Amino acid sequence: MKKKLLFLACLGITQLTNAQTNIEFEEYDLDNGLHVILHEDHSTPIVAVSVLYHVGSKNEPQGRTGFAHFFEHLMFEGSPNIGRGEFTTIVQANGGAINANTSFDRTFYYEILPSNQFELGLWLESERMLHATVDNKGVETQREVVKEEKRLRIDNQPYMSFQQNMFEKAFADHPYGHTPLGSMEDLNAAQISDFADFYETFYVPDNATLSIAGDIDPDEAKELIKKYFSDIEKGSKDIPRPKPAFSVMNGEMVDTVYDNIQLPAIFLGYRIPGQSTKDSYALEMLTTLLSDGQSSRMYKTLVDGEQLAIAVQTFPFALENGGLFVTLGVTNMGVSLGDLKNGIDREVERVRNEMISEKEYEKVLNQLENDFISRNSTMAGIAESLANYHVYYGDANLINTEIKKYREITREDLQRVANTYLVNSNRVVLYYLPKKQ
Amino acid sequence: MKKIIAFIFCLAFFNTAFAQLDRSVRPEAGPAPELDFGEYKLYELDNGLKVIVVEDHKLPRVSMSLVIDRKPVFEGDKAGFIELAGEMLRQGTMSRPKAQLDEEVDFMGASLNTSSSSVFASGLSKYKEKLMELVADVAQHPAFPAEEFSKLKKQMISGIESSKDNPQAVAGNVFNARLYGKDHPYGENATVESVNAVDLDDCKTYYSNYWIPNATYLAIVGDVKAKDVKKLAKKHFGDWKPGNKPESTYPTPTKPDGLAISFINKESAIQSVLVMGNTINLKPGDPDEVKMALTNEILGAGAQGRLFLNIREDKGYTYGAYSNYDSDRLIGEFTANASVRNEVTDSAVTEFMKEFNRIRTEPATDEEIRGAKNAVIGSFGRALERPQTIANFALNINRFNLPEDYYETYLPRLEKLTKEDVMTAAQNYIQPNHMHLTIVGKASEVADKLESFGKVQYFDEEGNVTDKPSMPVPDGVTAQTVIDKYIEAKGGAENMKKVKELEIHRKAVMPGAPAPFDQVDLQKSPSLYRSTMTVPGYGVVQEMLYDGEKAYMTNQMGTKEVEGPDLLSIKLDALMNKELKYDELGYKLKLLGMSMVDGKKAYVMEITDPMGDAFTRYYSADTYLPIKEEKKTDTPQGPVISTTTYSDYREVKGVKYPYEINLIMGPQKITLTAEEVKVNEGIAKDAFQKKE
Repeated sequence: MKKKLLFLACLGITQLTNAQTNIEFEEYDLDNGLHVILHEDHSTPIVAVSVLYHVGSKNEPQGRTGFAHFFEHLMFEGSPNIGRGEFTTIVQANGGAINANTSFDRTFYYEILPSNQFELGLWLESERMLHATVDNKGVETQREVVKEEKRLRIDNQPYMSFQQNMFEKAFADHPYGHTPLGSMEDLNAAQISDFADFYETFYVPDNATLSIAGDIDPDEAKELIKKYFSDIEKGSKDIPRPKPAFSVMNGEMVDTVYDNIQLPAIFLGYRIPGQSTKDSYALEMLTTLLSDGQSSRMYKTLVDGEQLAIAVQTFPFALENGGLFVTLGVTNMGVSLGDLKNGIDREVERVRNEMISEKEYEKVLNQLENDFISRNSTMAGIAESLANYHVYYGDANLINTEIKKYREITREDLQRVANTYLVNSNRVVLYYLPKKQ
Repeated sequence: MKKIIAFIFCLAFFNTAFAQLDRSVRPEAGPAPELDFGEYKLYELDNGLKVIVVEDHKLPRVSMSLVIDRKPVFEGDKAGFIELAGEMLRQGTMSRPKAQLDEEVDFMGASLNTSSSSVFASGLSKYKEKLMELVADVAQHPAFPAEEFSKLKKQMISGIESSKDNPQAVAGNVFNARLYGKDHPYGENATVESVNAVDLDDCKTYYSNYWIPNATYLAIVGDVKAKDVKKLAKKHFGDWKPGNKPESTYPTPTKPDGLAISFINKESAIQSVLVMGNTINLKPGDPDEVKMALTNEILGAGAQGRLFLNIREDKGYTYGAYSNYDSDRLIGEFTANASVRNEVTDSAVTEFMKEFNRIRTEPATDEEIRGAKNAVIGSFGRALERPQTIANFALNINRFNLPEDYYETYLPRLEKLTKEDVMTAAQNYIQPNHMHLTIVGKASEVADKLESFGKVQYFDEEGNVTDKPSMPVPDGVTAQTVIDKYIEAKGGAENMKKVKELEIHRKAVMPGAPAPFDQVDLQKSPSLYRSTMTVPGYGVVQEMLYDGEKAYMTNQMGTKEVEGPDLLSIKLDALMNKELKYDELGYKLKLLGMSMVDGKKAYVMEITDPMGDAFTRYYSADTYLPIKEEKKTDTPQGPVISTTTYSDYREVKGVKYPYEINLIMGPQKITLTAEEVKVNEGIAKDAFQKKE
């Protein structure tokens, strides 16, 4: 099981949709508030069963950072009916694949099963929702695993501390100021009652979306869902949902990080509004313009032309209540970070000062269209998209219509958002330099 | 009446309770669904190009992959030219400069990538003609522009530099170099030097030798019609001229005896990256392939594998521990890997070895077999969600001459496998006694503990042999301060000078010997010395004597007088308390640095005697007492390091002596345990006379 944090996962992923696809689905709520989305597709005898809990690192109170991600691990420990550590082996020994991930905004679990094991998937997810095992033994085991995960993914990897360094600075006054991994001290200090409280608050049907895609008969599916989920009680506690108003930063923040690296790198992060806003769509289009494909502006000038960098990537770290427009560049040999930064700044300045051409605008839309179609090519992808669209945008049908949102963005909008958000006073600059041996 | 109603209500209530879901019962699977292996069409053009088409109309997409079916190529001191050649294909064609090619690809929202033996393109199916035209142009008319070549070289060198930071990449490279040897195409790695040596002509020559239609497959998958594709392929690839397929042979890599450990030091590492494995002779389509798939699933393919359950779930050493295998026409491999925290590195190796041996010797349980079979079947089913899988199956069937129904019969063949099949496959393909283990980690914390598994050799990031790394010495510490502290720790110069006679009785345990030997050391100030080894009930087997003038060595061959430099050396050894006057005697001391000995920090001192012979002594940074000594001896078989370790120091009349000494030379190990240490208790003068 390669449970992932959504760290660099946003690299290269764009969230788009296309008017040509027609993904049919139906959705409804159970009495306990569980939202259900069903998509029927018989082309392969598999089914993706997923549950999205609307809890991420932003819901964590002070002193309890890392809890949401920690639960992603703890939720594999079992239940009164599932032995410790058996959750995953049950799925795999029945021909399924399983995974989970945690972001700033939500925690997502899914199984992809042979379709004759659909009921098994419902049983497993309902056990997790009803009465997952939250005890000392499990907490101890998973604490060690999470520490190893941090060592593997962050501490022992070049440049990977960037996410924490960047969010800490860009969102100092905001729940996004700590990343999903949180602090090991908080996890060490937490008592079992804190974990139990977190479970009872957030892992409740009225905070969850059950999204299913694949080889199912919807009527039969509804019966089975009722059988396994209807007896799970609604949550009894208030769910903390911080919704800080968006504001741009008031001043550039610059820092230098010494890391175990050979090639210096630069990370720029501009603070941007939440992902459902029109401006967020426009900013996403700018990332495509700047670094998607070899004819993209930054690749063409900085990597190919002037050879300042071996890699330049711009990606939207778009989140529910704000996010970052991230640009990273790794210097080519013998190039100074200053020269690379000037090169990147020049390209950002260009989108602020000049309106993009009709042809480039059309190219960006074509790229987005292609990305979208590919994105919904798997059952797991469709289940996840449907759940995301429902939770974040309140409209699961965006899976079919979201492309319109991009088409509504004009070239003027692109220039406007560049001038609003892609300005020096609204960014964090991180220089990564080799640690002296 | 009310009561009755109430009663009925109660019944109803109990009934619902009764009918409530019994959650302890895990749902049963429904009947197994049929897997649809899809269909493909294969056409061969006149020039030998084989075209595979898989129609899939679910989404308006198409993908095209052109695959050169070539033998592995050894690049030698220009390693990297093949990869560069592959990238050069993407740098523009005779009629399309790179910028134009990029623009045309991106404008369709498509992608087009090249490698040394492939072109892969994908996009919306409405662009299929244009995509095919671009793939064909790139494959047949690359321009090899010189200015792009120098850029790519520079980028590749930057990439090589940067990959040295990545412990997984380093571990993989060095592992391959050790497993296959650097003279094998699978073992060589591109370096800064080798990439610098590449000329554009090397790339062009590679391209013209290997990119020929009669060794090439074109697989088209997606929302297309097979007969349209055939026409398009003919149009765009029909004029490509066939050539001769280059042949090559390579030596079979040799396997080490035992576990060959290769260590790459990263002082900053907080995890050890472990990669281990052995080569296997398993070709695609071999009847054993399905057995190995099942075996590997049980051992370590995923989270239900034994490696994961043991090393992550039970021990918590790692985030993941896995195994893998590759069948290959030339030579395949079995590998396993994990990244573990420093302090459990050796324990993790123990667990890996345990699991390798267990799967070879103990039958798997029925539950494991069933679960692993289901997992393999399940991954097949999931793979079929991608129409490219059908094309890959078709490619494999044709490239490797597999039976046409190889994949349809794969699952039935899997179902028939037994526990015995798994054990046999493990015995044939998983060989812990002939394995390479590569570790990227912090040598000072983890390397010494690995010595118990086998010889540890040190390498740099490119797989070149290096010296064992040392740690810097703290400010203010010098050879003299270490010796001073040592003298103080041993008991102080005053107490040491009071020792005039020393008699030590020890038991010597040697593996293979039927009983312990008796060993007695006698020493009298200033420099009389006798060391005797006796086998109980047999007599003296070895003796060394210095009578103040002459030295004698006795063994089973008889007694011989020692002369020349060896005499001087024994004379020096016999000297009581020589540590107090190293300077005066002409010893030279050099503090080399710090190192770890069995997890303890130690000062590493090179001590050269007046004859110029040097040995290395490790003083504990904690107690300042010697804990280890190493000496290189030249033998007819080459240099051998003999190691002596000291522990269990105890005080006798104010001076400390090691009560346990281990002598290690090659595979031999002798453990000496002191039973009695007598100081100044009287030793007869004639104890140091030669016995006639």
